[in-house]
Amino acid sequence: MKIKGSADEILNNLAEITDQPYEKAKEWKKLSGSKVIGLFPMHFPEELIHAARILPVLLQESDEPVTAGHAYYYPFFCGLSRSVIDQAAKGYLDFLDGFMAGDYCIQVVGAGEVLGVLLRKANSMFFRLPVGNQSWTLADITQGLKEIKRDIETFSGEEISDEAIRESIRIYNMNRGLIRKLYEIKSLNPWILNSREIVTIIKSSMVIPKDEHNTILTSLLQVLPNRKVSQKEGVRVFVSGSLCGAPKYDILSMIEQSGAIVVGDDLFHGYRYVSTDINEEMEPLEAIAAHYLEKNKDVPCPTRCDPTTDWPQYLIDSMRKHEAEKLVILMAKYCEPHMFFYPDIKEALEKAGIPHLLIEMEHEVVSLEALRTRIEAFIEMK
Amino acid sequence: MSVQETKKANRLKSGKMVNKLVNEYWQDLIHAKENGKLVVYTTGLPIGPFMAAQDMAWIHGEGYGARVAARHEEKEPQIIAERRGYNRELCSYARTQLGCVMFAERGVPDDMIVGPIASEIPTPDAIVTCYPGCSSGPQWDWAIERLFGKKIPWFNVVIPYHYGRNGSSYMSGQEFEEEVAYVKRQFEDLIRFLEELSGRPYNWDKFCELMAVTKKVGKLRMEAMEMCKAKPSPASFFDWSIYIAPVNYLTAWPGTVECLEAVKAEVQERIDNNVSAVPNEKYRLFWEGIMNWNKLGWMADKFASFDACVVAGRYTHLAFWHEPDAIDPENPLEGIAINHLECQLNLGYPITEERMMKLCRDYSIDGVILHGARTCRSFARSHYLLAESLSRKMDISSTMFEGDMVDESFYQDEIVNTRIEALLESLDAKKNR
Ligand code: SF4
Ligand code: SF4
Repeated sequence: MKIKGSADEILNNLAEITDQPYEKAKEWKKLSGSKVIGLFPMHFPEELIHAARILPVLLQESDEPVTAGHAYYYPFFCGLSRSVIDQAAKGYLDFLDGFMAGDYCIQVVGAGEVLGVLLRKANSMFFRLPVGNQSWTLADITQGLKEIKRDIETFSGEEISDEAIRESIRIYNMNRGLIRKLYEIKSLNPWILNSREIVTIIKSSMVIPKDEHNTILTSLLQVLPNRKVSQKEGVRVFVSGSLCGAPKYDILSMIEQSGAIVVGDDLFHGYRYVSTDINEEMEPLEAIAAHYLEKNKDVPCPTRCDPTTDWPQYLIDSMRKHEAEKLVILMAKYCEPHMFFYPDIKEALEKAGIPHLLIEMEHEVVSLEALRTRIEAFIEMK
Repeated sequence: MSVQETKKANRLKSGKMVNKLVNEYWQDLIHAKENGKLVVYTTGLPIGPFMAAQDMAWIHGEGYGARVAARHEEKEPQIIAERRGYNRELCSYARTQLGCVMFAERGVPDDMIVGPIASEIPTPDAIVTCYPGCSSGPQWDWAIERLFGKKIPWFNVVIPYHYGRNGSSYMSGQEFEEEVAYVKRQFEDLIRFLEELSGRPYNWDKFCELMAVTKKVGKLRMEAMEMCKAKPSPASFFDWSIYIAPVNYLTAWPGTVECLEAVKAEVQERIDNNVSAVPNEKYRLFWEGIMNWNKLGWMADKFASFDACVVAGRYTHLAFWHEPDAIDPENPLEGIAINHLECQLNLGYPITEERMMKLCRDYSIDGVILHGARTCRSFARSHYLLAESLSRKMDISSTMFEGDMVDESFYQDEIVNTRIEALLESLDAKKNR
């Protein structure tokens, strides 16, 4: 199947999907009669759920200010966790048949527990993903996967075969591969997609069935080279951070409007999500377990506590690779894993002579104008 | 409501014995290297005996933060950490220790005068993490490991969260049993790690001896606290906060048995003589949340002035060898795993709720104080759910205020006052109903 339309039309279509990120899943549920499981970002075995013929949907931070959610969580938790709770409190997540939290971040643990109270009818699951990288970690992660597989099977009432998992891995690898292809095109022609469009592409991939997304991407890749874009000179910028939640589009646009071109990123709603494929030959659960260690080598994650990885050095290397001059760090307010790392990143960048700007993103945006001035000053700075 | 500011909390006298042990411990630690001991940094659970058996010194991250704050030395490490870029929303224990680590690694800057505890603790030969129910724990140790230039061997015991999957509940069910086995296996690996580090076979006999002491101390503390089911209560949560050190970083330290025996005797004597922790106990409260070390005395007197006794808390009553009977000193790893897995931070919400309701029933609680420690999200995460459920299921009212464990700047005293008064007024109204 092929999606008709120009690159602009396809991208607009994806933007519509991400504006109402759960509508497609609701439609799919109605048409297929199957179940939908909501997952917290960032480390969950989507492939396993897909293999059970359940649609995994990554829960998204919404732009709505938190209101009903205030009754369930302190305001000093990160925007993603508070927003998901707020959505549940407002009834927006009632379509979920289940949800999965995990232990990689305490704020997700707590948010999952609140969802357990708010979404009484949904099945509450918990994925145990041991941190670190010792000789036994791979086997421990595999064990965690076996446990969650058992729970998914109990929930769906069907056994998940190895063949089904392999097939899901293939579909998910294809999606990652197609998005990486877009990144390759962008690396040769950075104007072809702006950062907001990249985030939209990846965000849409998180909330609709992957095979459908693959079809859209295949079509996009065919028409993208014909896209007409104006090639303005600009400061080459790498954007880092924004764990779990997508960065605010306004902030991304501001960076580009200030005269920068975003040439690379390690955002979760960015390269982090697609960096690494899962081995299709290995025993599938072991392959997924290995993926957690592998992807962390490719794009280090501060939640994984793997001392063999080096996020600051990764950023410096990536910037060199992309010939980026400056780094913008987007840090979700109250995001502890990121806060623990920032001083090390800052020190390493200063040593390497790389200028950076730290932007703390609050869920409720206070003043965008003040931010614009800061961003402009940073981009213009010689 | 009329406030009798003259009333003061009647604190337990034997607390002084704890101070003596605490002083000894920190002095010992400062001189550990001179005395030929290897130094291990730890965070999270009280795993001191693992090191003590091998004659190593250990420093416990949270204990360190609390100690530095108790000696009013916390400002400088917090400032230096902030200067490096650690955000003030980060766990304040971690921030405080990271500041101290900066002093140890990079020296004290010329423009600062820093207290001895904050600046004289030796650098580590190894780091051992054993953190329950908080992802910030291992992340904090990783930050320390990086600050020391990634040269320090680091062992992380992963404590799986006891979520309560498939019907598993407190100390029972398949999830619980699998997790006990998993933690036990990691302890065996930890012991191999310590053997390698020290270059000597592990001293199992000493370890078992120390665990026998731990069991005894754990039991004495639980028994003494249980005596506070009496009305009026002979001691308060603020007293028990002091007694955390002997079951936390001082676990199995010489003198801890005597210390707990003394407190138990003192509590018994108070019961016999009808002496209470607050002069005129009218309300019995529960402290939900982590302790606020720079406000301990202030809080104890504040509640006493309102005729309120905080009799129990999740922090004190649901951790630190709270299941001593599970420990078999001859074969202690499983019992250690059980105590650690079933501690206050590591239990999924439904289990936490059930445990907390039990404590509220056991201690005849009228109201709950929810201390929303701003930088300890692990503790604060279930407060709203707990408040709602206690009110609905047990008709227990609660009040909430923000604070912190060692960063005083998060307190607004007027808000704390107003919230406490409002809670007590509502309890008054309820009593007169
Ligand atoms: S990693 Fe950061 S953004 Fe994600 S849940 Fe934790 S605190 Fe929130
Ligand atoms: S946030 Fe709380 S539980 Fe987590 S490491 Fe800090 S003190 Fe410990």
